[in-house]
Amino acid sequence: MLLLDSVENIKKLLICGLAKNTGKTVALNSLLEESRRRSEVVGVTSIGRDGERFDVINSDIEKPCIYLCAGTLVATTLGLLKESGISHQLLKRTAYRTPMGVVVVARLLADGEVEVAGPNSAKEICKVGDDMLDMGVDRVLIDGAINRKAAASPMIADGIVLSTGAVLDTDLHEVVKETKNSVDKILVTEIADMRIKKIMEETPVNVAVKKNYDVIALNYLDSLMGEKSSITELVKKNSNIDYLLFKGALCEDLAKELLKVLRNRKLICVVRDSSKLFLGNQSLEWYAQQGLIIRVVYPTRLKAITVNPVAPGSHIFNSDKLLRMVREVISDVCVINVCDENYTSQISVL
Amino acid sequence: MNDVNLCDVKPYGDMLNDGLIQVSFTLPIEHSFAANKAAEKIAEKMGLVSPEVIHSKELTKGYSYFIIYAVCNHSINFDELKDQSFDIQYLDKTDIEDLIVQKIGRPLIVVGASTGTDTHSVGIDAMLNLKGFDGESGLEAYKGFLTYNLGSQVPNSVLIAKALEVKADAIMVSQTVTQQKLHIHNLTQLVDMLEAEGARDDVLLICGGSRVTNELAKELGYDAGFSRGCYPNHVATYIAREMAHKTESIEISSDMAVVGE
Repeated sequence: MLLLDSVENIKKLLICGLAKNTGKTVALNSLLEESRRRSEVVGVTSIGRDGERFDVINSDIEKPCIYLCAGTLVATTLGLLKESGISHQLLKRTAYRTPMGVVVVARLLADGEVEVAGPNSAKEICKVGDDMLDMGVDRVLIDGAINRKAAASPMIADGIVLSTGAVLDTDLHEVVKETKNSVDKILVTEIADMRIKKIMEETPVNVAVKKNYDVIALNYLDSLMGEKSSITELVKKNSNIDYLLFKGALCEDLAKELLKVLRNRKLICVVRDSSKLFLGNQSLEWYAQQGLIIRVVYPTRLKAITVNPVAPGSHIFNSDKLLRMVREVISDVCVINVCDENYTSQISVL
Repeated sequence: MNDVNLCDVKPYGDMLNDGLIQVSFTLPIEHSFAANKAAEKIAEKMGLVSPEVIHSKELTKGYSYFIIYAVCNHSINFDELKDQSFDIQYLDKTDIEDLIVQKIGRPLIVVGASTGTDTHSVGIDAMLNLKGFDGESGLEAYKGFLTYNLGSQVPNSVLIAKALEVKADAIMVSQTVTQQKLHIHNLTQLVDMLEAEGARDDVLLICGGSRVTNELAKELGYDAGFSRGCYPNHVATYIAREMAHKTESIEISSDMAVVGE
């Protein structure tokens, strides 16, 4: 299956990496090439900046540029657009200022390499994506920046492609384990109880919900106070609280404090989507085993995983083995190495 | 005085364009004439021409230190770099105070900390505290700023909670520890957490540290990054200018709304 086929119904697609040098930009370039061969018009932007020539963190690593063909829409800064030297038609000057300048939307009139630096915030990315869809593109590709998961929210992108790779660890099994752990934290189960969903949508603040669906409003900002939060004491004193609903982030500090007071009882923490979870390295299963169940209102659509068997300057795994091992632990998602000969030969016959 | 060709800038030693530089480094070898030769070879591999060890000394058994003079024939186009607007015109304290009074009309609220497991607060203290750094007062000394320095080892969530509580205009994060790229994870988590709280657009996000550059800051989703050589008035200029621009944009939007009615 081609990467493009896996994202067929997705209008705004985020490509994000579990770390730098997981092959995210290569995956993006593959999607662009597949789109070009199928005569699909795409819009491209990024949350933050990518396509730069050298890795900002390790300048020895040369990074692939984003190669765009004529007709593609791009949302990047005016300065970077001019620097690319590619002739273009300016379609919109947005109100979004980034450290690299104002973001504009342009249609490229020729092929070429562009450094893409889109808006910095998730809301602005969403708006720019909507603008490009209104301008007639078939799909918007959002290049994610390292560790940035805000744009993975279903409020921003309809679906995501996740890049993983050898750079995560020198041990293949650890790479697979970390990938599975991360995927589990993306594909969090949707809350089934429709009444809870309704409360979540209707209340503007964080709340605790009792067995009988009575609601207790929580103190503003208490969800961020970790061990000083009064939420823990509330849960401890009220054994009939079954749910905590969070409008914003659920943080590791608070989650671990809650575990201390649960004592053989279960508590379901509901967040809007998985981008709101900041639970550290422990798996969701680890929390569940101690009574803390995590659920989301809006599930994230993970459409594909790309694997990069090469860790630049370090080690290389056998691609087939890496693919097989990831597919064994993550069965419902398409897993691809876009640099694999078998894969690239599929593209060439499009 | 000779005119410098800014399109072709080379190191200066004794005269313009001689490319003379001094480099120093340690090699893990016993001090000897052969060691000096090794140091010169390393310098040649760096692309330096005619390297000469002008001083060398044993640091400790098995380690030698070298100071080398050599010629570097590389040059850069400085005009091109200036056009990328790396530098801005920094204001002094008086001008910053005036800017805030005239364009904003209230103190700017800034919350800062060293976050995660980082215990180093020297950087954030230098920027925020009254004493400041090298004779330049920190933001606490300005009438135009109301500052909250939460110290070190502050969890990202607590920093955000304080910023939301006081309705901060800017959040300043200092990261000194960079082993195992700890600072990258910590800095990006803060951005994502702010997004999760729906507050990213409401606040200027600034990071700083000896290994933090403006380039890295942009990569990670921050509005600006400040590194070595930075003074409190640099950060103050940036915050004041950005907030002044924001205030003007809001006023223009409001005026347009009135006209629309």
